[in-house]
Amino acid sequence: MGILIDSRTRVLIQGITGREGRRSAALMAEYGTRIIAGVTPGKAGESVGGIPVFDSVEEALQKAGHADASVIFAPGVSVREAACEALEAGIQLIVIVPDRVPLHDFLYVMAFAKERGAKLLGPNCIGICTAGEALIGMIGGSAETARSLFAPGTVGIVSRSGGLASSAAHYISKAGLGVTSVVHVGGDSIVGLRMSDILVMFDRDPATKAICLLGEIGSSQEEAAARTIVNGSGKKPVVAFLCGASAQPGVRYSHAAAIVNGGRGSYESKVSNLVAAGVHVVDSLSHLATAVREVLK
Amino acid sequence: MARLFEYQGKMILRDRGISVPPGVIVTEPGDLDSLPSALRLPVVVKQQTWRTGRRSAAGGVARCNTWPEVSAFVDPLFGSQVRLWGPTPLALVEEYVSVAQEVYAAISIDEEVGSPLIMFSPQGGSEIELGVKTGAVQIYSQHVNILRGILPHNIMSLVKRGGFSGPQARSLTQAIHGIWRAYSELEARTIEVNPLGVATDGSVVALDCKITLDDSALFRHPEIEVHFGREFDRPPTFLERLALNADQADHRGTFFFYQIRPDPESLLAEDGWIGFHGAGGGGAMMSADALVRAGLRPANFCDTSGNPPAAKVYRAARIVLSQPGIEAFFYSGAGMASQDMPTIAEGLVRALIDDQVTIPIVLRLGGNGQDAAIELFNRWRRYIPAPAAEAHGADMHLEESIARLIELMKSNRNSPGLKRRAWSLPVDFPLTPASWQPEGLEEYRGRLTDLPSVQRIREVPYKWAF
Repeated sequence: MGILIDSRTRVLIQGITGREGRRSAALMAEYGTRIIAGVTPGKAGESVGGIPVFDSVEEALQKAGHADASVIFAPGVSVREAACEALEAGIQLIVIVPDRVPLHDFLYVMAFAKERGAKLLGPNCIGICTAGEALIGMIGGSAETARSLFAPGTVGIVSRSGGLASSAAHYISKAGLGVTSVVHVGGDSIVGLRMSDILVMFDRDPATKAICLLGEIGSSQEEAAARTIVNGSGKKPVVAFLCGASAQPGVRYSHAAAIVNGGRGSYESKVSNLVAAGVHVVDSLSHLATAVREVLK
Repeated sequence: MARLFEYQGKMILRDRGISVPPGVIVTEPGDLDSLPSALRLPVVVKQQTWRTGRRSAAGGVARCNTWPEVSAFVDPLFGSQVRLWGPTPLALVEEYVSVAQEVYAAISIDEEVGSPLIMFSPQGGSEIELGVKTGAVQIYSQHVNILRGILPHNIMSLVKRGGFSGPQARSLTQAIHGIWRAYSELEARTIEVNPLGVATDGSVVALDCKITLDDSALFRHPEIEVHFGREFDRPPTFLERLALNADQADHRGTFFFYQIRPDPESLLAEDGWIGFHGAGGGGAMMSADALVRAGLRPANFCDTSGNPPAAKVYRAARIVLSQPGIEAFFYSGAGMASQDMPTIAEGLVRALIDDQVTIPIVLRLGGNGQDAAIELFNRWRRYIPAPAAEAHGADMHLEESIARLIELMKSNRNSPGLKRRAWSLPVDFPLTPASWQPEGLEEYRGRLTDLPSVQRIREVPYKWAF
């Protein structure tokens, strides 16, 4: 079980011949993801680790068959073209790994996806893993690491930071609890699927018994997640960890989203909203597993 | 997210048919002499500043009825303001324009919907945020479908909802449509015109303008002069500019650097400063939080992420280490990185050797390939002069590793001469590996890219204080 992807999900890799594309194609394939083809314009006929490469998404789908998801490894400035190509071909889930995607380009992609009823994960996104089934993106870094990090279990993880997603999964797996799906929503200020959307999906997933929410300062995603819980769309127990307590107001930290302006998006605002929604907020990642075990009792 | 100065914003609006008051930019003392022939009294003098928010409350705006008053206001600025890029505009002197009403117009992004939002209020002015909070001010808004853009009649209905009609409604519609065109053409994050003045005859004039651009799209807009493509609460320091250069000169991975305590005097005078090298946006923030919680003081915030090559990590570490007064070096991310940790370790180890670091060092190298990364550190440990230096994997929790750091710092205080970093202003900062190489240390995975603009930066005089 888990959310968004499983062992049957058929995945296309756009930008498969670049540095990150090659490395991640190997990671995904070794993990067991069903990779059907890769796309790099001008590189048709090549193959990357046995995966056939085509010039366009259309050609790839004609020759390799239907795809449920596409993952993009193109440079940020090419994301708009790549994502719209995949959306036009009817692919319903696009995972956008690169950072430095121009904001207006992504707004365009979002509007385009909305018209087609498709989902976007990212940009600036390390990916998603459904434990023991499939992995899309570069989460884990290598299949061997990913297998040790994401032991199948009952905890869903959603994070605004890629590193925190992996680290939390590591502690949860080490504690013997294991994970269902680990989702990084992306580090940018505007992202496709938000924490609140993922929370609702975990709520509907029978295998997920508890959820870890890893947030940070900036944006209103944690506040929206708290609202989702208060509105009754998130009924499962949630444990949260947030970072950025010591950040300076008015400075945008390395994540494009991480800024506090006039109290909005502050650490305090997020903690108080989540606590009011009944979320257990821990102040160290090392307390996460203990807290999850507690709420599962 | 680069912020533009008010004068830049007004020039952008003017180019799109929106009236702005006649004005002159004052950069040098000589500019004051030209004012009487160019402008009519009374005038408004507005300091051009990095700070956001309530500038008038901070004394940056003055209405002057005589030219000597203008000089008295502007003169002290020549000496006080940091001039990082040679002569930069200090003040905008504008003719005072009398208006019947001040309204609010802005475009930003509604992150929940993922589309631009046009906002309009008949009650503009500096108190608008407070007014919105108390419910005294009503804001009318309209989402924009970016695939289609927005047409004037859509804006007209927004303006009419705000209670305007006739010539005033028409001019406001034209002005707000111009703001939308600027927003879309510049790929802005936000544009705020507050106040937008409305005269009784229906004419409209922009009395202020704040624009924030998207750093990732700046390369498509070379016509806009951006002084520093990051959103800070103050002008950047030398090291911060060097860091931005190091990041931009090499497109692989990202490197972010911000000095929490930018003045060397206080770094040298006070105890407990840590040179902090974080990894991954979230992991770096988490580690900085934990340092503060443990009573330590990160002198800076730094983050290398996006699977950076060793060369980028090396440069980042050198920049962190060149802060005077730091008493320890701490590298830490979330704990379980997807980055290739041996590559990261190579960059760090080379920097620690080149810099001949003597202060205590703790590195958290947990993640993909951590054993090889720790092994690499241990192999080259003897070339680093610091008596106390350790590398740990994912099994050591963040809090434990900070406790280790504190212990090492305590023991180091008893070794005279190794207390802290000496003043090390990086005027001749090479940012390439030293010519001396310990035999056999692997070459960088990821070649060094040139930093062509470092030389240019060095030529510009700069001050630490602001």
